[in-house]
Amino acid sequence: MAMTKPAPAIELDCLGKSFRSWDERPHSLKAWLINLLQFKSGFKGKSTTTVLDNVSLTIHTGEFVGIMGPNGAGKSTILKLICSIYEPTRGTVRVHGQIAPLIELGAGFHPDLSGYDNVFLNAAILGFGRRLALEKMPEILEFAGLGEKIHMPVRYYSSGMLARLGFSVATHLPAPILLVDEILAVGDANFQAKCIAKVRQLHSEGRTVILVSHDIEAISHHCERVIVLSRSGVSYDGPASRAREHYLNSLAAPVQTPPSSLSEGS
Amino acid sequence: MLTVVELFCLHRKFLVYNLVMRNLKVKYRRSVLGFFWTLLIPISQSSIYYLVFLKILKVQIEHYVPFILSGVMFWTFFSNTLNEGMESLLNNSSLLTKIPVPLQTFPLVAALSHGINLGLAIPVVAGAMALDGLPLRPAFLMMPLLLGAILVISYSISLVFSLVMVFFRDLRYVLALLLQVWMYGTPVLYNEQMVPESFRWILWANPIGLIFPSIHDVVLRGVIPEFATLGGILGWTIASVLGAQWALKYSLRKGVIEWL
Repeated sequence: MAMTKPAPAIELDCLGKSFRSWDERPHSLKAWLINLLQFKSGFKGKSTTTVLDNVSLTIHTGEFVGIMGPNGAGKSTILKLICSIYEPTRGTVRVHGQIAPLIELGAGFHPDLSGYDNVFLNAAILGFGRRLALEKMPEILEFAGLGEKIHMPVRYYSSGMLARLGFSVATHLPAPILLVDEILAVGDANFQAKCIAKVRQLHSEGRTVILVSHDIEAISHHCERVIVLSRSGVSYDGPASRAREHYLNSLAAPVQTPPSSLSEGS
Repeated sequence: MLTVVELFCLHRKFLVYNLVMRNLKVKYRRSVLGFFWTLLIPISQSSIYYLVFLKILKVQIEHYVPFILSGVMFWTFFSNTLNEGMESLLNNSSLLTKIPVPLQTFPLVAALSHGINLGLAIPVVAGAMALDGLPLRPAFLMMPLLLGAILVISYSISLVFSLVMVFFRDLRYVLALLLQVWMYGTPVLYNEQMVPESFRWILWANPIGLIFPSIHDVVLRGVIPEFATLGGILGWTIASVLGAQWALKYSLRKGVIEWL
């Protein structure tokens, strides 16, 4: 058993995702009925935008993977497919183990409730159970370091304090896979350093980390493996040291714009 | 396969509990009267109906106060749940498109939050009965069952509406109208005995049409509703759950989250 490759954490097989163009969607009953009267099917839009096409890759347990790419290359889409927020159009996604999504910090925070109440709320949204939330509470509060302010309604918090609290909850979910999307851009340098240190600590404990960022310095500094997405596919997948030039190339080649559906509208 | 457990979010109980608590805390915070504010609307509505129907139109309904109060409380629950539930997916779209959360949580939480208010209103109905000289009979224990039935039916309908609303946003105007027609097709303001024999089928065709005669049986006459009526309520409860299950499964397959 020794020396074999670590078990896969995430397997993407021939993954593809297309979206129906916004204009093609009858977003009202009126439009749908008019479409129907014109003998067009209300639902079958003709123009679709392919965001990801034929992506196959495996991320192994314990890897620290960076995902880069120009805007619109499908970084967020791939994360949403891994989280199963989106259903793939083609291919399959297999995820082994629970995911801690560090995608939207402080999801569901209510401004009128105290920080303490919001920790429970946020923890529940992220998938904690009652026992786990109670057990992790002291650590979460300690890491957030808000002191007595934890009992204040969060509407009086600064955005940095909110981010600290949200980050603290999300990183205390004992999930083997961490998805980190652009969140390291919030807060001051001090907080950013603390966050990245925490993510690295979780990685050293054996968790799989997937970091999505535009920050080429951070990515090449922290990640062992970098995946560059461009034009609906993987244009580079390999060691971080050689990722920079591929990323800059992908920026130079513009992402295909979705086919305009304006011409079809009548 | 979407199970009943998933439909009622029993696999995410802590999430549902926290969201319901959030609603209740936010609603009752900073108000001394607390939940009496929620009672105030059905009570003042009932007072208006009392004046208009009993004193001006002179309808022949005995024990009018408990009659109208119990009906209005249940109807208010139904219309609040539908109004809030059907908007709940669009209102929570920023969460649903970023964090993997079962979307049915939000209509369910709307129904449960209003259901708790309805539960707290039941003693108020009992108080009105006492003031009107109606005895509390064992049949009154049917009330929680009727509450459970209307809760499940309202949740299921609001889930279906909320899903349809994602695809057709202008449906909210149609539904507002539908809700108004629905109220007059339900024995809230009138008694089921006033419905002519040839129109009785409307009560059976209305998913909540049999619940209100049952409330009247329990509150005004202190008797358990007829077996056929209870069977009809059970039938509608099961049918609405199956309908909601199908609608949810279909919408998820259609990628409803991408439309938010």
